[in-house]
Amino acid sequence: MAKIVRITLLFLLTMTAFYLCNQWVINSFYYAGKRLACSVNPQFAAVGGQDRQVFLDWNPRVNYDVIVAGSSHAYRGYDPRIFQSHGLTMYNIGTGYQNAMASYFLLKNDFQPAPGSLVILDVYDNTYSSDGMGCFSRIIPNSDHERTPRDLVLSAFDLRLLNAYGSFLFIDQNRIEVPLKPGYVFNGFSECTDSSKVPVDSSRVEEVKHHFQAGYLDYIKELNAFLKQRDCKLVLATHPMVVNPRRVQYHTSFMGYLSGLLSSENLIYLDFSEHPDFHPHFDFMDDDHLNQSGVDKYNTLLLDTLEGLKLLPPSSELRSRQL
Amino acid sequence: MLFNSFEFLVFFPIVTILYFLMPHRFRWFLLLVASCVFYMFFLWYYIAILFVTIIIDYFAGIYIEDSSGRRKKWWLYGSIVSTCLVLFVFKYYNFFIGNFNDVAQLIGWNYSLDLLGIILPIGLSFHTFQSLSYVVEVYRGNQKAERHFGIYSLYVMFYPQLVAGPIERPQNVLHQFYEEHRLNYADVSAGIKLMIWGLFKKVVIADNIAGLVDAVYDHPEATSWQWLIIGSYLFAVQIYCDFSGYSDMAIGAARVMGFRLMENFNTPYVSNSIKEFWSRWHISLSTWFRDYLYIPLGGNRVKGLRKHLNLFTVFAVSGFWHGANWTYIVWGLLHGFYNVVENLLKKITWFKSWVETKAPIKRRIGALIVFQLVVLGWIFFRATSVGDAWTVIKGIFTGQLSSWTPPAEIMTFGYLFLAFKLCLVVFFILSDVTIHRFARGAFDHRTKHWFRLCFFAYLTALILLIGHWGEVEFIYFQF
Repeated sequence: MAKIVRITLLFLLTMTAFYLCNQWVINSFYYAGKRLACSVNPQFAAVGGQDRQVFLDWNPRVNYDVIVAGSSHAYRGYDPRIFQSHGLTMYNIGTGYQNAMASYFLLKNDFQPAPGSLVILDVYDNTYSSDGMGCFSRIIPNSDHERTPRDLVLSAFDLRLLNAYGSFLFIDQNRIEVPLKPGYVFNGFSECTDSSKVPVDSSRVEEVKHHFQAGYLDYIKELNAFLKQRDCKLVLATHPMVVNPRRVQYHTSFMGYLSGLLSSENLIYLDFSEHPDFHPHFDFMDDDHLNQSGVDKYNTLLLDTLEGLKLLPPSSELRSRQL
Repeated sequence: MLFNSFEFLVFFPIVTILYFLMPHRFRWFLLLVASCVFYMFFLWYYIAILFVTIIIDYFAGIYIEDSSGRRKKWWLYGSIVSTCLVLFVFKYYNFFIGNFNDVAQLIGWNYSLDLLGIILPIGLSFHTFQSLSYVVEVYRGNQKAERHFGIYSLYVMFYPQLVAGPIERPQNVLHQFYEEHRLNYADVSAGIKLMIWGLFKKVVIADNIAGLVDAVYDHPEATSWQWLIIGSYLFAVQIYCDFSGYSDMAIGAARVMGFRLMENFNTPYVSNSIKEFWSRWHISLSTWFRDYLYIPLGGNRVKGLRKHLNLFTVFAVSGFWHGANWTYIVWGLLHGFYNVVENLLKKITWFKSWVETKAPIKRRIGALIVFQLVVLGWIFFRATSVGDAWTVIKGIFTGQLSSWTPPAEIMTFGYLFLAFKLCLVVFFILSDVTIHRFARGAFDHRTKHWFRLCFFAYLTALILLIGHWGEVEFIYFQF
C-alpha cells in the first residue's frame, strides 16, 4: 500500500512537471506568428482579433449607459454609433459563442456596469447547444487578468479549460497572433457591410445537433442578481434571424425553457428572431448575422422599443454621469 | 459514461478505492451498483432492457443445467431466440423494415411499414453475445450454471467491458468474482499502464485524426483521389486506435482491481495473412464466432465448397453484427472472400510457405499487402452507404479529381495543424508494436523503474494536453 501511494505521488509529480514543460514549449514558440499551441488543439485559441480588442478598448473611467453582452450576434448586431445618436454611450462585450455564464463572469470581473445602466444580453439559442468551449477558449488567452479564466475553469469543470488556463500562465499577450479584422469600429463592435454571402440552406441547419445546455442559461439568474446589486437593469433580446422552419422549431423548444426563467426572474425578453421586416438577402450577412443595413434597422427598432418600455437611462442622467 | 470523460476520472478511483476498502463478501454488490451507474449515464431507462436479457439467461442457464435431452435443447433455443429477439427489435427491425419498404416501392406495391422511433441501447451487441456465450457454455457442460443472481448480473454488466467488450467467456470471468483480490502493486501498475496507453491511443491519436477522416468521407464525391487514399489509411489507424484503445482501458481498469480479461487486440496490422489478421483483431469476437458459429457449422471438419460457404456465412454475420447497414455486410463478405481466396491459394506451395514464414522481410512485405486489403475493407466500414463506398473506390482508382490540397474543412486550422496530426500518426505507426509490448510489461526486466515511470508520466501529460476530451465517442459504442 505504501509503495502504491509513494509511486502514485512520484508519478503525479513527474507528470505535472512534464505537463508544465510541454505547456511552456507550445506556448513559447511561434510558427507563422502563432503559438504552437494553436496548431495542437482547438482548445488553445489565439491572442488578438475581436476577442482581444474588446478588452483593450474598455475604459473603466467611462460610465457606459448600455452594455451589450452575448455571442457574435452581439458584437456584430449592436452598433455603438446608433446608440450614440440616441444620446447613449454603449459598450459591446460580445465574443464568439458567448453564453450567459461567460457574460456573467465578464461583467463581474472585467466590464463592471455603472449603477443605473442597462445591460442587454443577446440570447442566441444555438449558443446554448454548444459545450461552451468555443466561447471560453477565446476569452481565456485574451483576458486582461486571471479572475475570469479562473472562474470559468472552476465553474465549467472541463479538462480542456484547465489546459487553456494553464496556457494563460505562459502567454505573452503583447504578441498579437490574429490581426483585427478591418470591419472593427470601436467599443467592441464589428461592422459588416456585405449582403447575404451564404445562401440560406435549410439542410445545413438540419444537420446541427442540438444538445441543450441548460446550465449555461441558468447563469441568467446569477447575472440578474449581480446586476440588481449594482442597481442595473437586465433585458434579454434575440436579434433578427433568417427564418427557417428547423430553426424556428429549435427556437420554440429553447423558449420553452427560457420562459420559465423569465417569469421566475421577472425579466423582459425582446424576441426579434422572426421579425418580418428583415429581408433574408438585404439585411443579413449570412444565415446568422445581420449586415450593416440590418443592424441600422434593428438597433433603431430596439431603441424605440426600449424607449417605449422606459428602459433606457434618461439622457440627463447620462450628462450628469459624464460630468 | 465514457472512459475518456471527466466523470470517469472521478468514478474510477472512487470505485476502486471502495472496492479494496470493502469486505470481500460485499464487493460484488459494489461492482454491480457501479456498473449500473456507469451504464445509466447513457440512457438510464435502458438498464431495464439489460435486465430483461439478464433475467432470461440467468433462468435459462439454471434450467439448462437441471434438464436433459430435448428439454435441455429447448431451453437453449428458447434462451437464444429471446435474447436475439431483443437485439433484433432494437438493432435490426428498422433495417429490415426499411429494406422491405424500399423493395415494396421498387415493385410498385404502395405499402409501407412504420419504422420504430427508438435509439439503440449502447453496447447491446456486446452484452447480448456475452449472455449467449454463457448459456451455450452451460449447455455444453463447460460451465456450471451461476445460481447467484447478483454475480451473474455482474458477469453481464461488469462495467469495464460492459459497452464495448472484450466479449468474455464465463469460464474466464465468473470464478474471478468469487476470488478475493488484494491490493497488489503489480496489478495496479500493469492496469494503469494499459489504461494510459489505451487512453493515449483514443484521445491523442484516434480523436486527433477523426476530423481529417470525417472531412474526406463527408464529401467523397468532391475529394481528390490523393485525399481519398490518405483518408482511408487514416481511418485504418483511427479505428484501430479507437477500439484497441477502449479494449486496453477496459482490460487495464479490470486489472487494477485484480481481474484479468482476455486480450482483444494484438498489433493486427503486422499480420502476414488475413487469417492471422483475424487472430489479432477483435480477438474476443473472432473467437466467439469461431466457437459458437463456425465450429457448429462444421468448422474445418467439412471440406470444399461447404467450408467456403461457412466462411462466407460467418463473416457476413460478423459484418451484420457490427451494424444494421449494407456497408457492414459488404465489409463482412469482403473479408469472407479474402479468407476463401487465401485458403485456395494456400494449396500453392510457395504461397503457403510465404504465409507461414518467420523471415522478417517476407513477413513485412506480406503485412504490407494484407494491410492494403484490410484498408479496402475499411472503406465500406467507414462509408455511410455502399454508394458512398463505391464513390471512394471509384475516386481512388479512376483518379478523376487530382489535387494534393487538403479538403477545406482540414485547412481551417492550417498546414501546421495538419502536419502535427500526421506526425502523431507516423509516431504511432513506428512505435505501436514496441509500446504495445512495453505497456504489457514485456520489457520490464530490461528497463529501469524510473524510465517506465517517466515514460508513462509523459504519455499522461500528452493525453491531458493534446487529447480531445469529451468530444468523440468510441466508434464501437454504436455496435
